[in-house]
Amino acid sequence: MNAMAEATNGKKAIYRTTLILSVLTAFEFLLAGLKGSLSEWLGWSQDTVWLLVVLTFVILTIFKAYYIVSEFMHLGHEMRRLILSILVPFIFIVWLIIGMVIEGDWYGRLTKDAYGSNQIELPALDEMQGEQSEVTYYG
Amino acid sequence: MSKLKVDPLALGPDERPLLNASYGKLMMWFFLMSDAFTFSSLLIAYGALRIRSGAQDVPWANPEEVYTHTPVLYEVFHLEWPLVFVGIMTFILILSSVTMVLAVEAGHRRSQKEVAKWMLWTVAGGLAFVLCQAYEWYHFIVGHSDGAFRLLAENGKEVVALLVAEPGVMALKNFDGEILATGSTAFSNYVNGLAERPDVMELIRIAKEYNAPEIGALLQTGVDTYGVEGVLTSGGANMLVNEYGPPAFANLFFFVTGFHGTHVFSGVVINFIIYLNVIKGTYEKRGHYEMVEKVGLYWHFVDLVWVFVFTFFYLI
Repeated sequence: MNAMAEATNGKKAIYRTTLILSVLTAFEFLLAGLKGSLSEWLGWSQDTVWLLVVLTFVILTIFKAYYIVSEFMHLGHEMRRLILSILVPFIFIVWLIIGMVIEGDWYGRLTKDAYGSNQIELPALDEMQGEQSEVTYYG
Repeated sequence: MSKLKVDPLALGPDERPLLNASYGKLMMWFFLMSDAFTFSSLLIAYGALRIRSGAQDVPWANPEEVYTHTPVLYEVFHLEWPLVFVGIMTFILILSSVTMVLAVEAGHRRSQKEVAKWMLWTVAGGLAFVLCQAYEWYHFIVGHSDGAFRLLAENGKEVVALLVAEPGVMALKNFDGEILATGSTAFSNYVNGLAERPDVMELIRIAKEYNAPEIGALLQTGVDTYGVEGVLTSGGANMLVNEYGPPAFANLFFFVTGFHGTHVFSGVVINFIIYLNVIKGTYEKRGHYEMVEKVGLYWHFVDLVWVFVFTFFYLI
């Protein structure tokens, strides 16, 4: 393979990845615009549609991340050892996601009575303007 | 594995080239890994706080109501189209990632001119992105014309009424949305431009001055009967309160997009330094353009992080 052909090949892969990323982003953008009216069109409950939309966004994001890391950052063409030593530590992140999702939900339900319903939790004015505040802001 | 080209810059055979990549590239990878951990923690904190807020029945901010400003569309045509601008920003960053790959590809062919050209485009894309972010932050902080001042009672926590700047008029509303009094445009404009948390006495004074005696009188009643002590915030956002959702929302927005923006900015600076080296011929003399590849890794990482920030802050 001469240098010329190699260059065209490399560029082809780049443009293909660009196209995929653009199409996925455009689709996400479209879905974000339509998500409000989807439940009416499909006749499904609001919660089901919300869950499906969120799931679609997350999956598409992972797809985009895969293309950026694999093609643009060239990791897909490196040795398997390098790929694994980069990716395997992210097991800890998966663990952290699961843990914090459970924790967030639990803590929210625990404090629901104090900070939920219509009451808006706002910090006291004098404490906000004072130098040192020991108030915890719940949000 | 058979197709793998041996990287001539990797450690020599006697040094057992475990990973077939040069020392510099490996270290860039491991740096990016640690950086990815930092960003993951921030985004997971966002997730945890948002889920907590949901479990408390406290509504989180709706992105379609938050990010509505687009240059020209807003200033000239007064249109507030949600998410258009952030779509453009995302596209700018993806395109600058593409020009970066093209620079790396040109580096493999050792075409100095092309590398320089694509590096310059990448720098331009990064700069454009940072400027877009400045615009976005400005409108996030200043807020919408319907952002409200919250009037606080004595204990400093109870919200008594809302002072709402509506287009052309200032209205004092109770929590059922009933308008108690309205004030003149001059007053509205003035209050809109105030820094957050003006004193309630200051507001009463301004009301008199700007021909909005009804509001002044009502505020005075608030002070006398409810013990209104202060006005918490205008529309928009600061670190304590915001018009969009729970305080944690704005705090996370500032921290995460700010941290990402810092990365973009340093990326722009680094890319520009590499561009200068390219036109100086440093890498031509060195015989390879691996440095371009290394900053390329960093730049793609910045794009990668934005993909996640885009999803969690702007779409969901």
